[in-house]
Amino acid sequence: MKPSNKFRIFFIIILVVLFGFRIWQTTGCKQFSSFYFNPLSIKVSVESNVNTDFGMDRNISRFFHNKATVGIFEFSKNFASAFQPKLLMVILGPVGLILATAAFLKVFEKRRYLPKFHFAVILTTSLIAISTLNSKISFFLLAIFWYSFSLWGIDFFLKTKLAKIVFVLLAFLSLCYFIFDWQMKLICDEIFFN
Amino acid sequence: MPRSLNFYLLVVIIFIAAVLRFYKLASVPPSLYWDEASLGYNAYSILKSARDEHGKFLPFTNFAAFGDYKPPGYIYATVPSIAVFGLNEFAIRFPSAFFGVLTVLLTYPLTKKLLENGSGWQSLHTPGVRKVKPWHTPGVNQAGLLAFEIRNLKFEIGNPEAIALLSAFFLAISPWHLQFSRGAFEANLGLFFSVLGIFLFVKFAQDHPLWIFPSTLSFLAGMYTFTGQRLFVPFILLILVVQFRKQIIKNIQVMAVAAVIAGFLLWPLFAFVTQTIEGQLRFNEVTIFKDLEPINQSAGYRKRDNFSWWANIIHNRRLFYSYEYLTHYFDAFNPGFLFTKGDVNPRLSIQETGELYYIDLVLILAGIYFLFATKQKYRFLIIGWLLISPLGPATARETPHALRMIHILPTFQILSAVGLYYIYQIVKYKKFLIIFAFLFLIFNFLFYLHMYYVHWPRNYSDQWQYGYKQAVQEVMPLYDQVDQIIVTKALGRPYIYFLLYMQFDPSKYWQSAQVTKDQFFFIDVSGFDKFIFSEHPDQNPVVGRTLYIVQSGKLPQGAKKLRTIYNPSQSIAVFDIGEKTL
Repeated sequence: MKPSNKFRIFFIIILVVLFGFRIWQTTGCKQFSSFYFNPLSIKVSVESNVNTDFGMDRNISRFFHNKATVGIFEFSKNFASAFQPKLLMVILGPVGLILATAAFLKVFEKRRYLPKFHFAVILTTSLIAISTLNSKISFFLLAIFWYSFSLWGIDFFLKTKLAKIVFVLLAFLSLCYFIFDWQMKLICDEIFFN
Repeated sequence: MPRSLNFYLLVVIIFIAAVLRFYKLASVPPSLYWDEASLGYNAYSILKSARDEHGKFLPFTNFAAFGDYKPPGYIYATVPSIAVFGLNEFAIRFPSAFFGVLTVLLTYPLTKKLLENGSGWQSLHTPGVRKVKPWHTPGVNQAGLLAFEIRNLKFEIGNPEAIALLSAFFLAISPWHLQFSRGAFEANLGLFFSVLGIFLFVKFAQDHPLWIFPSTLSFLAGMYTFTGQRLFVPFILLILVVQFRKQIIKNIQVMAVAAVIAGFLLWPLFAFVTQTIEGQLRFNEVTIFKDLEPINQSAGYRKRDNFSWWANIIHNRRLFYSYEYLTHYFDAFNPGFLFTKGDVNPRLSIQETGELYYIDLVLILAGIYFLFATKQKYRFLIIGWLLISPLGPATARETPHALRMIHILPTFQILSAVGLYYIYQIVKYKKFLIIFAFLFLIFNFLFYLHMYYVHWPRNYSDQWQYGYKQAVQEVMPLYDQVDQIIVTKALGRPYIYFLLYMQFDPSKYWQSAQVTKDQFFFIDVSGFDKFIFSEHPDQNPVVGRTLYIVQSGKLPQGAKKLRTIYNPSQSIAVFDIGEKTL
């Protein structure tokens, strides 16, 4: 086995343990934060915006503030919230976030279809997360796909000896972070262990 | 023909940029917020007396103003416009709008310079590149030039030119840049200087070594204009030095002279920032590194673990700060901030759209890809610029912050332009792409304009201290007939609005101003001439005929209401104006 493959496997084991620890922490979560996009917000937003356009031709106002346009804007706001760096930091930790960034660069590489597909799955999962009321399922779907996606970034830390040391340090830092951030405020609205 | 077309297109873009920046400049944003008022009155004071509002002769490193010790650049830039247009909103905002247009103009040659020497391009200057075969549909001809027809006239634009034009156009209509070009924001003038500095640095590396001197001066001007530039310039210089290390080594003597000049000119500012309490106070006020919470958390965790050696490592306060910093850094690339909601501060964004357009998301990602796929010579510089921009702002408590991070512009626009240009090259249905992209962008843009001109001034006028100007206009005709005017401080820093809108003579103001400095070095003006500024106007003694300008419903007992001032949508009363005679 090549030395780089040994390191790859070693790093994957570290990450599985690290991410597994984070997932275990969330078992104390009684109420997960929701990404749910409530379609009612469209109606409310249309009404409120049209009211602000007093003194303006109603057709012009309706051109900008109708269910279709407001729907797109409101929906995309919720969709973007599933990609907040702060949220990803809580889920992935520093090492995972950097790995995910490195993995993201792989999406753009020529003739690499699996990372592209994997990222498309993340987009779909985020879509599911904002469409479902079950926030627990939303979270686990998002977390698992982000964790697996971040593994594409391992190559970034295999290039030099220094990079490998940095990886180990970052993994340690992430463990520390996971330990002290046990409340996971962006993930859990309510947390307690029996 | 190709050359003149570029020129005309650039003129059209600049015209669009100017219209978008100057149209209703005095009335949208709805009024001057206190920093704008302060910049304006200090510039007026310099014009009239060569001294700032506190009587200091031609300040070089800072204007004390409210105790925020403003950089001097914008104030000096406003002096000529006040001399020409008078002391009003338009004049105060003019430098920002004017230099905003110049930044759009500058984006064109900068982008061209950054891209035309790349290995992925064919330059227009390459001999024989104009000898192209005829074409019939929009597309890229054999020489790699963007080619199209309008009414039987055939046009061709070289890659760097097309991308440079697109970059300038994207910046011209950018919500991020428009927001700061239409208010008196020092940051916008600072942005102009840093973009100019980078452009001149590239000219130094590509054209002539002597360009390093104006480049140095530009960077210095940026640092003397906006505090955020002081944390940006060192990082961008590092990127430039790495990118152009060969040229720097080759011209090391010229560089040394430029460094000495820079050191000499920077010294007063450096001394102010590092060796005075005033210079450090505002930084300490906003930085996360002065926040004691991580230390408390660290101590709490270590105590729980009985201060064991391993707890000291795991719960080290430096780790807490590192985490905080990292989170703040990545905040800069929060998609919600960039594409859907913008800055949370209603003064810095209209709250309904992102700092960039939706279409930019696709174009920027494509731009990053093509920048690397075409092995652009200066890809490191462009991406480096993008990545180092949040390094300084990430030290602050509020992130992401559109104002403190403005120096990231126009990298997003350059990437969008690269993305659009190459997507256009590779897609099969070019007309469909152009129509779709155009319609999508136009709708996004029109929506932004509608929200900016109609909704934003109505919904967030309070963020711009709306009401002060109207209050001053009510008071001015009565000024000679009253003995004192008591104004509430509830809406913040009222004195500056009375100085500004009454065009109060600075020398008279110095004679009567009651100024105090608190323990945090903030400067408070509790009165001047007939004015008394008070937290509790009803507790001030009545002298003769007294006018009151107070929050709605808070006129003292026995005072007669003269007028109520409402917000622009007439829904909320801002001030009640009343009088009482002893």
